[in-house]
Amino acid sequence: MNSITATLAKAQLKQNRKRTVITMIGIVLSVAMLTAVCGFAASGIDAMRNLVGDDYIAAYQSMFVSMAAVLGAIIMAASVVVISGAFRISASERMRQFGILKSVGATKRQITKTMLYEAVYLCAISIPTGIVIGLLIQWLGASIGDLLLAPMNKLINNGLSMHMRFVFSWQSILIAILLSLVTVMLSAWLPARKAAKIPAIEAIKLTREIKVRKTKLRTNRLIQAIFGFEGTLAAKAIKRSRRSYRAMVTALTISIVLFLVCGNLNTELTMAMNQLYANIDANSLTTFSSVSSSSPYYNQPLDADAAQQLTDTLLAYPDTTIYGVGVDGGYALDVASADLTDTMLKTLDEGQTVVGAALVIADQAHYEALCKAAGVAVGSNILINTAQKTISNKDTEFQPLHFSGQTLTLSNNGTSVDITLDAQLISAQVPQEVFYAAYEDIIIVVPDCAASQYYWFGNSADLAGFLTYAENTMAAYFPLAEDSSAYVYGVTDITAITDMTRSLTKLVTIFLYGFVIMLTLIGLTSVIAAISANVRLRAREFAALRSVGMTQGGLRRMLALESVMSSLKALLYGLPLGSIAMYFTYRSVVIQSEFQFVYPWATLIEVAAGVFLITLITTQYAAAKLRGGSIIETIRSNEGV
Amino acid sequence: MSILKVQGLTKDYGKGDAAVAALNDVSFSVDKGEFVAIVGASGSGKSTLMHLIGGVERPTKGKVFVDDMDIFSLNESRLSIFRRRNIGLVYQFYNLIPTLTAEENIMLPYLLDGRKPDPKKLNEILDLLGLANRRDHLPGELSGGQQQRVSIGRALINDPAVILADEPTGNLDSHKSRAIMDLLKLSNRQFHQTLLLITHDEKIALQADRILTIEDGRILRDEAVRA
Repeated sequence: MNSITATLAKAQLKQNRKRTVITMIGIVLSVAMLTAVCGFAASGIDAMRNLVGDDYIAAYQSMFVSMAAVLGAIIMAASVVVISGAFRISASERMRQFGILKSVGATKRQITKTMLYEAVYLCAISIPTGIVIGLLIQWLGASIGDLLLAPMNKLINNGLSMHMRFVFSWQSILIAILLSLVTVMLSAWLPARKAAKIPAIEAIKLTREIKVRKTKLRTNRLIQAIFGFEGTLAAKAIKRSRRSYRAMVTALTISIVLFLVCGNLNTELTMAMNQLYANIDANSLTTFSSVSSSSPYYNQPLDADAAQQLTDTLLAYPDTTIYGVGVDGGYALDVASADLTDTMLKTLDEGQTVVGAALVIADQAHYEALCKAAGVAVGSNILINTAQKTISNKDTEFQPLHFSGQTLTLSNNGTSVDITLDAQLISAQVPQEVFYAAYEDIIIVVPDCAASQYYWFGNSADLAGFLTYAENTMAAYFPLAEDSSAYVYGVTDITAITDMTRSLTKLVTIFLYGFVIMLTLIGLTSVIAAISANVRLRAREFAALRSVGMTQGGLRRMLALESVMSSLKALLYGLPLGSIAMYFTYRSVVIQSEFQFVYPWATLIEVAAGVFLITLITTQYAAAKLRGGSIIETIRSNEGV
Repeated sequence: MSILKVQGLTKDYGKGDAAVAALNDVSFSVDKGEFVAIVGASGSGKSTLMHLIGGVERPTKGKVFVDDMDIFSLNESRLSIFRRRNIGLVYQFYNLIPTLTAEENIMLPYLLDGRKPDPKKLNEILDLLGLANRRDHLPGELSGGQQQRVSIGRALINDPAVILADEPTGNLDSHKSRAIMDLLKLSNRQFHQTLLLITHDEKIALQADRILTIEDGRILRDEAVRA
């Protein structure tokens, strides 16, 4: 290890301590993420193994492994871009040094080796640190995950429960170490190979002059007009040193894309989770169902009177409101095609005029409210003339029928019933509870029917007490249900469900954003490295500008404009790419839940602001570092940093 | 016995009509132990000649033999190894590695070979250069003259067949220049080193055994200096 290549590598790391630290942070973060991803896969497999047992674990195992593989690949790709950027800066700073080494007889391999040794030294410290941090993240994530799984376990309450534990798996740590090594060595090798190719003469001929590429740099009139002379200089600097800006723009672009996709996924997920009971103001749901065929005793529907009796009993509990709604559904309704609206006809097969229909009853008070809303006497039949369907991938609300006070014939299994419509209501006038109960296209509220299903949405100040009370009420009314295996009645704590959905959403959000934020941090290290190296490399240029009279303020403005322009560039790539990526993830992930594509404008604005902030802060910081240097000394300095 | 032979050396920069001949069919040879000064105005092609002999650049046409080895017949890594064992380079701007100590910079050609020089030899050179008490200093901690002495030490350490010095005193004041020239002459005498010195300074050139004058990429004069 005592070879000259190793010595040079060590010296370089010591020489440029700040960049070494930044690079190390980058490596530590990516190792931590790889470790955490491998660890989470292990935790996930463990959780599923406890749930489903050894016999069924194989499928889940491959699911977790492939998920980890996808995430790992993303992390590795991002890390290589970023870490190799840092190494490229290190190489470009030492071009002259490599030239000198070559002129005294160093071979290409020796030049490559010094860079690789640099990587080895960095790994020696960063990988163990990264592993430890990764395990910490895994432990923290597993703990939070377990905490958030608790509401679900409480709800399921059937002996089966899912727990996330911290799993120390040496296999996954080994994999993480190997992947990290590959990532870092590849990151060092890519620029090293290039640096070694530079002929000695190129590097030593010029003292420390940065070679300006000969491409024609046209002055953009627009930039000149908007940003002034400093703006023109900034634009030229960016065009000229495109390479050093590229890593930064790439890193920023990737972050933008990930944040947008993440923001969109999160919005869709929250919407999906919230839709369950979103518009119903209730904290408990008591249900009755006679659909079960295995329940001979109660295979009979509830009529309005029986239901009302139960409603009144439930209402007797203090500080409680109840919305009771029952359904006699599954009817087929053959209507004259003239009675059906065009939209309704479009959703049916060609020539079809049979639509699904349901009769609905409500508790006395709410039935009367509906009649009053429709402006008819109690005892009327009211058509709820609103249907919801997904038409060409879009949620659509529409009127299914032309209402004319007609009489409809509903048939079900050979029996049929004639209903004369007295009035109609549309969705805005109808409580969500009705739509929750019945999902048919045509819903008719009637004074009485044989409800095969009945729902009591309860809102009670003392929820726990009411749940017990409702349970007892139902058990007293259906005494034999206990013995039958059938599901006759049920009492559900809705808040528990919303709690569960909320914590599941939180769980996914934490993991999603955690992932993206970590990746962004890795990218950030490269942005900081790129900007500060760039400013340092151009110290002479800045000194020259100051010697011809540019003020410190002008210099700062020029750097600020450079950062604004490169941010704009990153946004220019990132926003369209992110939007496309967002749409594709939406298409592949969210399509089943029948949600419309929602553009996360808030995320977009946050992302844009973040990008500008990051680049501005780093350039201003770097510029502040330059303030001290004497003009003449910087101009005249020939020797290396 | 000639240690360095240059045959028909030509170097064009650019291509086609835009081609500029920096060096045009230059031939000469140098005997072992000879001290040759190459003079010429800036842009005459003298630095190009030096880079070609040093093997850091490849010619358009022509050959260079160092110790009877046709250096451009070697591939790049073989040439690198040949260079570190047989050619010593001294530049105007010292070209030291800023992160290595004076001693390490001097030993560099050996270190690249994975070897350590004989400590006696190293001490002899450090004494000769007057750097014995500066051996652990980094280049940044040394004066210009001291840095140039380190680079001379680096050129001397491996007993090269030829030492090539490109304006070694160009960046130094007259007092330090004289000290560096004395040092180069001393090494030429004491170690019987072959020395090629590029300069635009007539006075310095006159200290050599022989002066090659270059103009527009050709040898204009080749004359011995009378002692």
